[in-house]
Amino acid sequence: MAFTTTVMPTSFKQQILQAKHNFATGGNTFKLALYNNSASFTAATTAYTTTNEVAASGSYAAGGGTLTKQGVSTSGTTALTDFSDLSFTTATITAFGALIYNDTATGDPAVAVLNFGGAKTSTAGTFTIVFPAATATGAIIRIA
Amino acid sequence: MLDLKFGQMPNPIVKTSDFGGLSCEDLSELCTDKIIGVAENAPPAIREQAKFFRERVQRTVFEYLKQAKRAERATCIQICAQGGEQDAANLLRRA
Repeated sequence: MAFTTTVMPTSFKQQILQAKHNFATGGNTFKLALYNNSASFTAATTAYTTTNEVAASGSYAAGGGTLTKQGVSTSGTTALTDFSDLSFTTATITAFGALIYNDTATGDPAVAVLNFGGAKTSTAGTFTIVFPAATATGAIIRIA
Repeated sequence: MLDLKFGQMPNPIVKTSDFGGLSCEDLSELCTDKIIGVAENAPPAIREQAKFFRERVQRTVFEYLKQAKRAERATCIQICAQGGEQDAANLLRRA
């Protein structure tokens, strides 16, 4: 199997309506874990798993890195939230995609599946995941 | 019926480097992307102006990142030298 799409899991949409995620400053802790090409995440993905996660290297440890939230804001009639870019340093990593999950909520529920579109590799270097600008049309999570 | 729609998730961008950190070129590009976004449906004249402005901002950010890098390296060299690590200081000086 492989990463095929960047998608918001259906379970996350349900959990938003159940108030299980808090993206506000001081809210929940969200993490991003990297995966190899054997991972097969889809809209049906529900939670973080260690299966097929890349090995620890440099500043990358099992479970991935903690994302810095940028709070919740609005632009026009769209509500949005975003994260700061996340970097792993001195790391030898090959990853095909990532999973954002809620590390505070019980069961580490999935928030987003990110498909890198191919292998991304760093060798004793920096591996940076760049999030789009926090706008009504570009932010990683938007509700219109 | 009230319709609540999640926007389509954008594909993430990944930047990587080997045997060291990201380059000033990469970082200045990432920084500029956060500061300036040009809508694809903007009028051509505005898009051109925005593009020109974006290039200027990126050049400026790039120059200051280079200066920051040099300044940080100079500090590291001094820390090594004052700590009696002359070989490390020389290594950094030559790198």
